[in-house]
Amino acid sequence: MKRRDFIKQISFVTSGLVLSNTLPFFLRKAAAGEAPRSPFQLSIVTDRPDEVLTKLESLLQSQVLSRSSLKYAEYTLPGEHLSDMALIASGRLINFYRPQDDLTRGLMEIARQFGMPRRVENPVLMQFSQDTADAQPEKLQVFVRNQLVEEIRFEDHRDYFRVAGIRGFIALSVRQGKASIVESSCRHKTCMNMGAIRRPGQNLICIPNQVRVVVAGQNAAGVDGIVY
Amino acid sequence: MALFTKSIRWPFLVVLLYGGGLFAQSKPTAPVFEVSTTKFLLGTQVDIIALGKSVQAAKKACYFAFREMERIENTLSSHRADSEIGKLNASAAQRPVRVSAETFAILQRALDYSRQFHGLFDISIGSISVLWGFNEDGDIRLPGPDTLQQKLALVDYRQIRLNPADTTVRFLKPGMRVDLGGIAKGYAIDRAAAMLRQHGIRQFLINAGGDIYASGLKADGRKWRIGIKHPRQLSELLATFELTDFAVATSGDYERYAIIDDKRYHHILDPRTGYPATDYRSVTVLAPSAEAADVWATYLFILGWPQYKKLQPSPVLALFVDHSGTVYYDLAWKQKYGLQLVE
Repeated sequence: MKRRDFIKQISFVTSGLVLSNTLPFFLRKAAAGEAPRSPFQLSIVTDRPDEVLTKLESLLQSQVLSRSSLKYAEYTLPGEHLSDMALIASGRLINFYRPQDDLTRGLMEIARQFGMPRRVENPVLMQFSQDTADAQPEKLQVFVRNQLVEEIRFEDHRDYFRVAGIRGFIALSVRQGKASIVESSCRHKTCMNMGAIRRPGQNLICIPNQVRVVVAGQNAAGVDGIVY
Repeated sequence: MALFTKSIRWPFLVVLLYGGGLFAQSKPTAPVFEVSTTKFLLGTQVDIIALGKSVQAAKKACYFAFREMERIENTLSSHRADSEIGKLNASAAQRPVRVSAETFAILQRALDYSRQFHGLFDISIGSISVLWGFNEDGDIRLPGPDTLQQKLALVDYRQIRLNPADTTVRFLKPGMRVDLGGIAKGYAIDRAAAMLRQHGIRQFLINAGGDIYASGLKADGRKWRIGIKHPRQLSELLATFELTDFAVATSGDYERYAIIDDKRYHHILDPRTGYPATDYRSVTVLAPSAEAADVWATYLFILGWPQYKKLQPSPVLALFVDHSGTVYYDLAWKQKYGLQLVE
């Protein structure tokens, strides 16, 4: 996978940007020397997450956390991936390989120190992001155990999307901005009783199969948790 | 580890419940990392959001919190033969079985609740829940009436003997089984919260399959905002409210259930009949600890709103949705915690 492909993939993972439009813009902005602005999103794919985090944490503490809180989550990505980083600020990709400020200089240094970009097996995807007022669901993320195995755009229509779990399978339906589990190999079918999800932060969970389907995006309902 | 002794529990909870909203005012907080972690535990999905100046420190705290929950699951699960409760169910009818001080303490508290609730919360429901199959990954089945009546005779918390001198447990009737499903998840959340605090995390939210404990304030200085799931329109919220340093839990008929002969059979069993309680779709309870919220939600689902109102002042706040969809709730919840029904 080339760096351009990595950015396409990560851009979808982090923000759902349409890269074909964004990338030339990013290049122009990078060349013009604009500094990253809020909202801030940084994604790193690495097979050495603890070491990268040690380096990254102090950089972000000094360059970003002094101004704004940051959300952080990490997931394992099964299979072969390109280890690299993608920085998005104000909805634009920032080319930190052509550094303009202390943050991008620090990121470039970390990327070089860890030999990015390079191919790795079963890496961890680490994501930092600022909260935004954007309340739109972006996509469905499908996890088996805590591995991110699939992403589905909400505008896609899938009548029967099969996901292999640890004991069997589930089948998802994604239609008209809602997702539900329409079939499951599990006995109790609790996951099928969970109804449809459409708001960021909502989950569908099949415990026996250890499959979790999450609506990604900022929290539209403005809730931090749902009691049920 | 008793969180509250029986003699002081109610007044203490009432003071916390009605005073909590007054002291937990929003105030600005310095920017922090908000670390989200997830694990499958306790037969459900557990999410922890932990706030701190260091991602690594927050991750480490979450790791210890998850490890604590896993330890509790391994100790208290009734469907693991090698757990303390599994061993108890296998042998306590034949001879006294020694358990750890922790398991003994949770059994003591469970029996206290049973006495307090006149048997409407009863951990000896285990022999009945096994019949229905709600707690295993097997088929949910409608037990035959004769079998159910026969097993119902084994549901009696007064037939469980605890000996504090040697922390042994004895069942006085052969075939009795205990099931801590109505209390263990709440206890595990409280222990996870203690573990996070022990590792320096003060602002966090733990959500274990819909049972929630929230501590401190969010990164933006506001209280945590919680949604209550609508018991029939499952992609919708019934209500929202604000939470800090409190727990909330729901007992509902809408997730773990099976339709058998066009009738809904769910997992909240009435210890008096052995059948699912049918008057309510859901009961949500706000309490100072997750254990209390968990137990009270189960109890109130069976007790019902009219009887609950006779308990006033109550040590918890509650929201009921009855079988027709009518919503009843404590006004104090609205006044102190900003409860808003979603139109």
